[in-house]
Amino acid sequence: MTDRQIELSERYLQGEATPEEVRALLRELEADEKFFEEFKHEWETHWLLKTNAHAHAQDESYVKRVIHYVHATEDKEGFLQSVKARIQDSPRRHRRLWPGFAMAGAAAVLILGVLVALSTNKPTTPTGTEPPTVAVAATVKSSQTGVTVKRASASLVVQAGGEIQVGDRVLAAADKPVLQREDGTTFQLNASAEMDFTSTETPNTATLLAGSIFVTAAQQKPRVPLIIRTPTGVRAEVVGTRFEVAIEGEKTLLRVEEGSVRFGQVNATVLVPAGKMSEVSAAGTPATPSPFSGAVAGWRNGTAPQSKRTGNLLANPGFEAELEHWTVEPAQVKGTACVIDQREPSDPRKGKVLKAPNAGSFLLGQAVPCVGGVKYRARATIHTVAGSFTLKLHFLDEKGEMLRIQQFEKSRPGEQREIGGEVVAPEGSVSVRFEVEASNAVGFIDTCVLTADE
Amino acid sequence: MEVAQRVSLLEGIVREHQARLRAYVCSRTGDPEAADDIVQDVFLIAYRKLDTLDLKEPLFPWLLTVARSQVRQRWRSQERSNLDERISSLVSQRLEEEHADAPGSAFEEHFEQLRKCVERLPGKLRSLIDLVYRENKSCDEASSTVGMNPTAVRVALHRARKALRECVQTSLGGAHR
Repeated sequence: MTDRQIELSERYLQGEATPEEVRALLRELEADEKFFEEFKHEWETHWLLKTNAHAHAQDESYVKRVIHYVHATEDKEGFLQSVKARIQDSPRRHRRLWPGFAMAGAAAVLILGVLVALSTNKPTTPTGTEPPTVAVAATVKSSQTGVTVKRASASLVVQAGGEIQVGDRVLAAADKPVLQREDGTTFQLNASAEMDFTSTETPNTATLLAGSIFVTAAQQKPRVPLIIRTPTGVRAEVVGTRFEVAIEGEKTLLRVEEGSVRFGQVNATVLVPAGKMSEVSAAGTPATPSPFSGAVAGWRNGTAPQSKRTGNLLANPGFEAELEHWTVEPAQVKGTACVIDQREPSDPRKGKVLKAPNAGSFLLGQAVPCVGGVKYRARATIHTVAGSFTLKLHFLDEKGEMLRIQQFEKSRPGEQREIGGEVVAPEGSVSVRFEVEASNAVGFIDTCVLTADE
Repeated sequence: MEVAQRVSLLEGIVREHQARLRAYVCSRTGDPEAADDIVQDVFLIAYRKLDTLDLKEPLFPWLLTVARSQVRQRWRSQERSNLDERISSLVSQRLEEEHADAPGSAFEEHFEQLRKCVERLPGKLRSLIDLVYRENKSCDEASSTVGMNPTAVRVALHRARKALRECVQTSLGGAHR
């Protein structure tokens, strides 16, 4: 190995290499077989030393973690009963077991509680067990109205400054409350978001049951990273700092604002860096991280209101029912035929969100008059967060029958750009309207403009 | 087998084998967190198969075979757009190919010898290994402790690992896993 190769490989193994150095290392490995052979042994010895050095300190916690995991996956009832039986079996055994196995048992009781709660969608506690010792999971840092907490079978409101206990289930009010953990990590919950703070996997695990949250993670302890789980087994493991996790139908979405997050299911994860998003369905693997436009957790400042994002827009096609922020100008033979603007004049970031879980069409605004034979230029500024949108123009005759549909190019995920083109209105057309066809799409349309060119 | 008995058995198995198994998987993934997840799944599979396993026979070779399969599954599902992942995938796949037919006991011996060889390292190299691997010091931090510049520390670490490999090979009589 040359001095340069030693330097590169050491810096890489110790996690000190810059992206350029990692690239250089990869080039060297691909070009120099002898170096590759050496590096391969270096790598193996490095990781064996790394795990060996810390093995003893983590043995017990890891044993517990595995038992919890097995329990959560298999033999839920049986495991619980066996733990109870062993704890109650004899006082001497109880004392000897408590620091180790019985702690696992207590956690198992908690886990079962969550599993039952998730399956029945009701707060509950395992019957016949003593309530576990409570611990503070977080405090309510800010909330005007307080958050609703389901604790055992009770429901109470915890005001700002109050404590959320391990085992609590939190339902956010409309004021988007902020919860803070002891390490400084904060969760801002969107209206109607639900979180569960039962520790199911590691002490640093929280479960998002519904809605979306924005996480600002404090520096994480090595090997016990903060993990946000969902009921479908999706995990977002904190490597970096600021990100949003949202449950939308069967999908869990992640958008990373700062740092990076390991996202997916146990054996299929992707590292999502800042500025990118990924999504995973209940049974699927996480999508390759892709860029997104717009803000992360835009609901925090009013953009992309959650009610609109999760509302059944398909049942209310188009925005005809909510035209308060739109303007439609009368057609002219020359000049602007119509402008459909969904932005709020006071805040251009506010507006409407198109979302189609599978596929659907949205009619934008009302049909406006046009003149057959006239060339029109259509354009729309589309922010495509995911999926794709296709812009179309419908030309209608005097009876309102469709004469022609002009289709323009599709938008692509992560883009924010103008789409459209020129088209001559067919003879006999008296009105025209915009349509956007969505395919697995989430995004925004800022403005649609139809201009007559002659 | 009753649940209590199964759980008790599993606890014993996890306690006995997890350190070596995690070391093995980590040396193939280069990712301690992923290794923990994979090993957790290996024990879940072991739990499901408790009734059919012959517990009088050494269990580690069987666990290692399951772990290898899990690691391969991870390679298949892993995205490799990231440079780190490309490097780890290149190296770990080559390592695994070379040792695919090695018995599980070979890895156990290798791992055990490595522990012993660390104890036999000369003073300064041993201190460096302790600083970097036990105390998680960066090369820059370690350099000020041992009075060497960071580049010299990196070279010394390289030599220490080379010495450890030679020590392990000598102890095992040149046998490869």
